[in-house]
Amino acid sequence: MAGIRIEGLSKDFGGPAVVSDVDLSIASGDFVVILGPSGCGKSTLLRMIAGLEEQGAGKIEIDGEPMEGVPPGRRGCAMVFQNYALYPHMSVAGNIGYALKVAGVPRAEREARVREVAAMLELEPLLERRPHQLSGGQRQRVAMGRAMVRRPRVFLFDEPLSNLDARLRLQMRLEIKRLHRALGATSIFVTHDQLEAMTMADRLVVMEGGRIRQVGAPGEVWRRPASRFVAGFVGTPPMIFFPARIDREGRARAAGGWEPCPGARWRLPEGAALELGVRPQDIAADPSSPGPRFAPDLAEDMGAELHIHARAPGGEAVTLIRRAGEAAPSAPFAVRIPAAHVHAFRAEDGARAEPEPVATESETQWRETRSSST
Amino acid sequence: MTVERGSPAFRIAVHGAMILLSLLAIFPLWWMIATSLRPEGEVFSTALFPASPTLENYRAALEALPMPRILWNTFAMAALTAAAQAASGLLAAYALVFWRFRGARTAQVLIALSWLVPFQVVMIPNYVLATRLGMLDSLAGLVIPNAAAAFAVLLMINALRSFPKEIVEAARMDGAGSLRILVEVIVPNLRAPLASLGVLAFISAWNEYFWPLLLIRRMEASVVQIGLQFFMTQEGNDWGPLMAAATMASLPILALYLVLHRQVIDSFMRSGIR
Repeated sequence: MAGIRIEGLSKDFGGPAVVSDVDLSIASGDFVVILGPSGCGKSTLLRMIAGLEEQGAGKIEIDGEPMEGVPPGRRGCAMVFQNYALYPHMSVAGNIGYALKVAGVPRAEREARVREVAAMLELEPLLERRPHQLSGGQRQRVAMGRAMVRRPRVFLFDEPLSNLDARLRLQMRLEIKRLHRALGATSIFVTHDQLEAMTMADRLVVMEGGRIRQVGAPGEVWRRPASRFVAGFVGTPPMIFFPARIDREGRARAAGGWEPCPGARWRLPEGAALELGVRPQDIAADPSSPGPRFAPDLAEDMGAELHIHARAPGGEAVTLIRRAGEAAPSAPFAVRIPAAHVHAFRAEDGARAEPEPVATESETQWRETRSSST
Repeated sequence: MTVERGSPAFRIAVHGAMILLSLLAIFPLWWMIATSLRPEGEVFSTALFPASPTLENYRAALEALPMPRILWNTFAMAALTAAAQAASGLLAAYALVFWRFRGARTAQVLIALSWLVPFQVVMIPNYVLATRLGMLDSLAGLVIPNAAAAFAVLLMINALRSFPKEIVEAARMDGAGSLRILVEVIVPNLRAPLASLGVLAFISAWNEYFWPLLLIRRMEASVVQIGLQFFMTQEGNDWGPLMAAATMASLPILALYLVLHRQVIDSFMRSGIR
């Protein structure tokens, strides 16, 4: 088990930086998921930790040892690749045991360790098969076994589930988590699938454009996204946004002057541009809201819940989530963001802008009297 | 009238053209074998089949030349050349494809360019060098100057480019060094391209004429293509024994090709070279 410390890590391939100025420390035994859209630098970051990519500027330490110039095989890291990368000409046993063979482990011990790992992964009946005789899920397990047999300090996963079908993906997700619990080794898991990220991570790292945008527990990232990007990227169906401007009283007003989140105030200069966000779970249909009318367009029945997609004449779109059995709007409806569920981001840099603490009833009245008197 | 693809008329036309081309390709071979079986008086006959076939020409050829000896020389030379080219091509291509280093691109371009340099340009310098190194009249002199070939490097570069990089990376993660990865991970998965390179290099070395002609003085050290020359004299050519010797010279190549032709053609189709 090992902790990892990354400081000021940057990397480019002769063009713009692919990874820039990344700081990250990972506690021993943590399961960290790096989440980001394709091209955000997450795989490059992982490959630099593995030693497959030369590190640019900055530092990588595993267990306090600097890794600069240490070849991949000597870092104590094992990697599971997206397309498994099994050796096609070797049997399952050969694949799993290859690292031990390279390390010069005597045959008897090698075979015992391969069998031990195969037993954990239920691969024993397949040990003599070749990779091309295995199903996708079995290949994935062999790739896991190949990583486990070395008893590495760190497990690195490079989108290992993306070639599997949905059901297998779920199964492997659970299996990887169980293995992590059993082995307790530090793990870094790279994915672009946010469901995978949310469900597997102890700590979630969201990357975009080569930079880390937020680090935190998955629930924390979901509940308090630090930026417009994170808010839009994490969550399915995605967060709904309304562009707005701050008026004289600190209220956010959308185009046409309506107030998507009545009651919330921001301590921002008048005219400041914001984006107000709300999760589809949290948005309220409110007949009294003066905002645009959204006409239900499509309803997706997910079984336990219903996703209602609706559009306004101006082109704005919202998605509502209703539990099965709850009344779903069938006629055009207006919406409101409950003040407790609003996420606001400054338009200029996407940074989170918290509203002032929710005003009490009397305060609201005071403000209203004040504004009507002026 | 347009002829549709896949219609019977189109298929007949295509097959007709193929048959014609095959006949055109096979005819010289057939003529060589037919002539080798004709008695001396019949050598210039234009009949497709020898009227009274005889092995007399083969006896004459075997008497005039140490045929087994020079066939063995040729075989050794071709096999060693092919093995050397496969090994050097593989090593060079491995470095060029999997290692990032300054000048890799330039090196590759230079290798490709060297493929375009005609033999006549390097023949004299090579000859001088071989003489000084004492390789005149020797097997080493035949093999070493041809031990590395641009064609082999380019063919291997092509094969390695389509080799999954992740497998190499997996082996690096498993702690294997470069040479070990090449020998234990890459080569076992590269049988088809290596076999076709081997066959091509073998055939082209077998058919080599100019270089042995320059280098070899003694008939015992000679190769079969030079041996054939023995029957071409200033007083005229001894066609019967010449064709008999030529047939014997081509038989090993034909046999090799018959066994491995699928691999060779496959590799051409995939590599797109030539």
